[in-house]
Amino acid sequence: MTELESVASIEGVSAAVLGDLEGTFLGALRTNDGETIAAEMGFVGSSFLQIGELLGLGPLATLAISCRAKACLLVVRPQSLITAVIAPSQSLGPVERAVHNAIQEWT
Amino acid sequence: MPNVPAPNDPKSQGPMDLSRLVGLKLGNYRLERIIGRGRMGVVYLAQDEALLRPTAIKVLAWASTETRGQDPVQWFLGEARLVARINDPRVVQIYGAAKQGEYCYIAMEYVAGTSTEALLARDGRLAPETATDILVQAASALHAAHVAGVVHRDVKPGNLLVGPGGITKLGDFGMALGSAGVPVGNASVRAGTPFYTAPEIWRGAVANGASDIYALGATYFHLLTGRPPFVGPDLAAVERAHLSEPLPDPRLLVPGLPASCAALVTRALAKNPAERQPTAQILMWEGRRALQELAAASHAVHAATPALTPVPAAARPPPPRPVVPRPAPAALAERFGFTQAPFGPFDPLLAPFQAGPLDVVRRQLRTLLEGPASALVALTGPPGSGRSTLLRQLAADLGASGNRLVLSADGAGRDDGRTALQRICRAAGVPDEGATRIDGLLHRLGEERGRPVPVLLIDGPDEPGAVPADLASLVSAGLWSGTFKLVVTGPVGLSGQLIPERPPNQADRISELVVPPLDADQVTQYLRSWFKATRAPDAAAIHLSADAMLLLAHRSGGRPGKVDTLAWNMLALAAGVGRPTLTSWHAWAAGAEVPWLDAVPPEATSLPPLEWPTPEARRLLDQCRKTAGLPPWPDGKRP
Repeated sequence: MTELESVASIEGVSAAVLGDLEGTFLGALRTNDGETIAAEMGFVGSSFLQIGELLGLGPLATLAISCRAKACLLVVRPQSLITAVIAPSQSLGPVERAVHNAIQEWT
Repeated sequence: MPNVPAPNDPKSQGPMDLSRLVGLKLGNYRLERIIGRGRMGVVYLAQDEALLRPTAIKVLAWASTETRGQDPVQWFLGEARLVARINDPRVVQIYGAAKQGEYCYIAMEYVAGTSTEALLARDGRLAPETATDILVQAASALHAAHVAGVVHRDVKPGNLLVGPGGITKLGDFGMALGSAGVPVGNASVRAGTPFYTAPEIWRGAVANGASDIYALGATYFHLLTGRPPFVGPDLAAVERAHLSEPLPDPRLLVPGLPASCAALVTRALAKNPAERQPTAQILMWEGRRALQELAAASHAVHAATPALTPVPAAARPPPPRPVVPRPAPAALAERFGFTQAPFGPFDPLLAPFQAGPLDVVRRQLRTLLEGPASALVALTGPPGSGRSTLLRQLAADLGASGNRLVLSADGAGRDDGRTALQRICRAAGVPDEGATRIDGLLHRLGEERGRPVPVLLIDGPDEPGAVPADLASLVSAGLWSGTFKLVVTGPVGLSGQLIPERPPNQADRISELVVPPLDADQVTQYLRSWFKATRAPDAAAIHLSADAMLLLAHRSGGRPGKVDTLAWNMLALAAGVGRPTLTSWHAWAAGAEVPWLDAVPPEATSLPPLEWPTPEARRLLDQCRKTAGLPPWPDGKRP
C-alpha cells in the first residue's frame, strides 16, 4: 500500500491527492479532479509556507482548512504535498490524527 | 511713365541690351530691376500685378541661342516644361512661359536671398555645417529632377539660391536635358561651367545624373574650401585637371575640416562615375549623415554647456496613443473579479511585459537601439510572438523622456491601406504624397540635430513576402543618412528581406532580434502578470495547473498572441462553472482561433468528460510532461 493509498483508506477521507508546492499533479485516489485539487492546494501550501516563514514559525508541516463545503488536510513532505479531502460532515480532529499516523508510518 | 524701350528688333540685341527693359510689362508682370544675368538671358525682379507677388522674369537673350541654331521659343518652352515636370520645393518653380511681341520670357518663383556664388564672394568659404546643409538641399532638388527625367547640366554655385531660413533652391534649368522626348537644349553641346564639369563630359559623353552629382560635388568643394577643385591658367589646364589630376585634399586646404565632409566630397568627385554616389538621393542621405556627425561633434565640444532644452510639446508629433483598455465581459468581471479585459492591446506602460517574460528581449532591444552605429533593428518572430507589443512598449519607453522624436506607424496597411511611409510622414507633419516625401521626412527629422537621433517604429508585415518599396526606401534612407534609427517588426529573416545585400560598411548597423517563444513557466508568469494588471486587488486567486500551462505553451507555440486567445477562452470555460482554476482540460478544450467574447460556443461544454484526460489528450500531456522533466500523467483509481 502506498502512502497515498494509506491516506485515502482512512475513514472520513473522501479523496487523496499527491502534488507539490508548484501545484503539479502527481497522483490522486477517489477523485477525478486531482489536477484541480493539486493546483489549488499547491497555491495554498506555498502561500502558507511564506506566512509561516514570515511569522518565524519555521517550515510549514501541516495545514487544516475547514469550510462549509469542504475540509482539507495538507501535509507537506520534503518533495511533495499530500491533500486529504474530508467530507464536511466529518469531524476533522480524528481524521487529522489518523492521517498523521498513516504518514508517520512512511517516514 | 516707365522707361519702356522702343520696340527694337530683339534679334539684334545681345544680353546686355536686355538691361533696358525696366518698366516694361510682359503679361501680368511689370519688370522692376535686374537681379541676374545668365548665359541664356537676363533675369528681372518683376511684380505680378494680378497676384500681387514678386516674380522673377527671365527674358531670353536671343543672340545666345540663335548662335546655336536653336529656335528660342522652343528652347524657353522646353526649359519651362522640364521644370514644370519636377515639381519640387527645392527647385525654383516656373509659373509660365510666353512670348510677347519679340520678347520670350519665363516667369519664375522669386527667391528672396542670394546665390551661393555671392556668399562665396562675400565670405570666402562657408562653414562645413552651412555648406553641407546647402549640399543636402541641392541634392534633394537634383534627385527630384533626375526622378523626373531631367539632367540639369549646369550645377554650380551661381545656380544655388539661398533664401530666408537657409532654404536652398536649385535654379536655371536653361541647359537642362530632358528624357522622354522633351525637346530642349542641345545634347551634343558641352554644357556646364568648366570648374564643375565632370571628366566624362570633357571626353564628350552625354550628361547624365552622375555628371550632375560630380558638378554638385565640385560646388560643395568650392563652398567648403573657397575654391573650385581644379583651377588653372586656361581652359585646357582645367580640363586636364578634371580628367587626370588627383583631387586636392580638402583637409589640407581647410585644416580642421571634418573627415565626414572630406569623404563626402571625395566620393562625389570620383573620376569614374561608377565610384560616385549612385544617386543624388544617396548623396543627400550621406550629406545628412555628415550633418548628423557634425552636430554630434559640435555637441561633444560643447559638452559643458547646459542640457538641451526639451522639444516643445507643441512642436512634436503626438506620442503613440496608448491603447484604451477594454471593459471586462460580465462573466469574467462577476466570476473572477476582472476590472478590465485581459490580454491583447493594452497600455504598454502598464502591461505585463513591464517585468514580464519578454523583458529580456525588451532590454536587448534598447541596448541595440542605443548603440551609436545602429541604424536598423528588425524585431522578428511569428505573428503573435509579442513583437508588436514590444514595439508599442518601446514607443512608450522612448517617448517617455520627451526629448527624443519617436514616430510610430502600422506598416502593413492593416487599417486604411496607407503605407508605412505615408503614416510616418503624416506623423511627422510632412506631405505624405509625391516622389520626394522621403526627402521631406529627412528634412523634418534633420531638424532634430543636437537631440537624440529620432526613432521610427514600424509594425511591419505579418508574413514573409515582398517588402513594400517605400519601406525598403525608408530603410535605405535611414542607413545612408543616419538621420534616424528604424525598428521594424516582421517575420524571422526580415532584415535580409529589407537589405538583401548588406553594404560592407553598413553590416554592423543592421541587427535582427528574434523574439523567442515563451516556455511554460513564462506562460504562467505572463498570465499571472495579466491577471494582476486587470483584476481587482482583492479578487480571489485564479489557480493555474502546471499541466494547463504545459498544454497552453504547447498549443500556442509560446506566442503571446496565441496564448491570449487560448487563455481568454480557458477563462470563458472556467467562468461557466465559476471555479477559478484553469486545468489541462481548459487548455485542451479552449478554441485557439478567435476569442469567445460573450459566450462559450455550444460545442465547447463547460465540464470535462468524466474520464479525463482522454487517450488522445493524455498522449499529448505525457509528451509535454516528459519535455518538462515530469513523470507521466498519474494513474489513479477513480471513485
